[in-house]
Amino acid sequence: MTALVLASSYGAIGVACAGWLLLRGERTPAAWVGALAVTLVWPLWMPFALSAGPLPSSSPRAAERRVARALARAREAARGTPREALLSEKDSERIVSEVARIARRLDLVESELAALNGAVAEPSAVRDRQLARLRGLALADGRALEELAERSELLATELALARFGEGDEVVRLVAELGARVEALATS
Amino acid sequence: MTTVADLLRSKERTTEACASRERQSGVARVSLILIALGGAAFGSAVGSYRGSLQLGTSALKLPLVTLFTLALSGPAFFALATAFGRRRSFRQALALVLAAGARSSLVLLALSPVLALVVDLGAGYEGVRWAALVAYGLGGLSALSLMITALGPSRGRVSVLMAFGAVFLVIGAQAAWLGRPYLGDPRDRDVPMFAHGRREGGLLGALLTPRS
Amino acid sequence: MSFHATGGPFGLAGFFAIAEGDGTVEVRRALAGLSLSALFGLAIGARYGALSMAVHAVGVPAGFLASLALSLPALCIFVAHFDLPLDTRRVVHAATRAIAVSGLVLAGLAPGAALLCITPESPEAAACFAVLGLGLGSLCGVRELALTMQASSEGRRLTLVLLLSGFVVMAALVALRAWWLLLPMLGRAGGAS
Repeated sequence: MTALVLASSYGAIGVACAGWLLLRGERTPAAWVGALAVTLVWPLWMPFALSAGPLPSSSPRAAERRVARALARAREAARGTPREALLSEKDSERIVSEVARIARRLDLVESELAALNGAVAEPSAVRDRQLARLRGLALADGRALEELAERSELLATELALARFGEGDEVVRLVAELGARVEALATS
Repeated sequence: MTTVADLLRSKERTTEACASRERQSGVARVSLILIALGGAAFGSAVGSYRGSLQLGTSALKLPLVTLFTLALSGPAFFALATAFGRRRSFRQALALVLAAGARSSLVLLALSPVLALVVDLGAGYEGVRWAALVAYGLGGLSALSLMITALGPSRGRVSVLMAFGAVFLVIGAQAAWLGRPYLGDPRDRDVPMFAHGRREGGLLGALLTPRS
Repeated sequence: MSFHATGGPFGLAGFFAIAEGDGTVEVRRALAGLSLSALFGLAIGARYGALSMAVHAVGVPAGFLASLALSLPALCIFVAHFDLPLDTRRVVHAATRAIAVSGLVLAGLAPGAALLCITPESPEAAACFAVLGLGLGSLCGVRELALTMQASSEGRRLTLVLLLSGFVVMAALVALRAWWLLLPMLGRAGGAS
């Protein structure tokens, strides 16, 4: 295989990635510029592009359940160990209640979105702005829920590993989860 | 602009941004732009040795080589960091690598006028080449400082840095060799876009062979 | 492309979690590591075409398998001989973790290896890069093996270190020989499959 074949394969994959991104999203001028950039740097951008957009199969209630289950696992894994103090019952309840708050807000936003989208109305700039803002809120809340669920699951696994002498990252994960919850609570 | 300021002033905030799923994409986007800008500016300074067309081609090639190197070494960083106990996602690892590249590119952007001045003052081919290597070295140190912070103080940090550093240097050197010439060989009356087909003893031969 | 650390042998937690007494998980972990190492084989074989890629994709994991198949029983025997507090299951678990880590590192090195093996002027340089990559992946695996066994054993550190040193030398020699035979780019300078 020559360098030319390698370069051609690289380019072909880049073009395919750019095409996929354009088909998936709106074809604005910025999107075309982004697609051109992706053709050149797809290994660096596609992992982020794949995570953009609404999170699939992650309903607010499902995320709430994931967080609650993960925190219960984490507390069970930490029980009777020196790490038990890192994640108290009060901390867990705080996290779960914050997740529930975001989930309720996301439900409301999604109902508003559904109502706006379903309404038969003349196009208007105000309506477009409202739709954009609601979509932005839904995306942010969805991502926040997914992130909290992932972090909780990471923490549960790390605490389980800590029982066997691994788990160097417990303190960091607890701090990050706490910081994220605080940031969301004040936002 | 917050990301750019954080990239330069606060390695801790940059590391947190790379860890945040909401902010990773933003860090990656800004880093890609900075790498392109910094590389283009530095490439222009390098290409100014021969001037005219070489200025433009080097401005184009240098950022592409940098991005290509990061694309190939990003997975290696993720794998090595994971193997040495850093349980982070692939996106987080990639965002860190890009942020380090952006930091380095900002240093190159800052040093581009210095290199242009070196060229303007009549430095020879070898002088300009070594000046460019020193600038790259300084940029690399800046990137390394971010990686050191990002990897944290726990066991295995030095091993990851040494292993990844070696991998990055080798890949970067080979990628740079493929994209040559940047300065323009003084033996060439007209500098080609690429020096493919020219057997120079590989990368080491190209580096160590003196040119008049 | 995010690896969710939510358990299971094919997530990161599965790679690194301790699984007591579950042979299926150990086998799956080893298979995952071997599959990942095959990506490195694909990359280094790319210099000589598609058939060579396939041959090297089989040869790289086969070298690991041969090395473990011939060296691991000896390690288990000597661990028992010196009455170290490590049973065979733990030793096998450490070995599968080592395979998983080596495979992960080699998979991460694969894109760079493709560049470094396709583009050099000389086939010898390409072979050198391939060997360096295999060496780095193997070293990471050896580190994981040593750490896992040290964590599992209580005391007798010096004995364990000596045994591990002998094992590593033997495994390295077997792996090198296997790869010399199975990877055409190493065995025959500049040779295709």
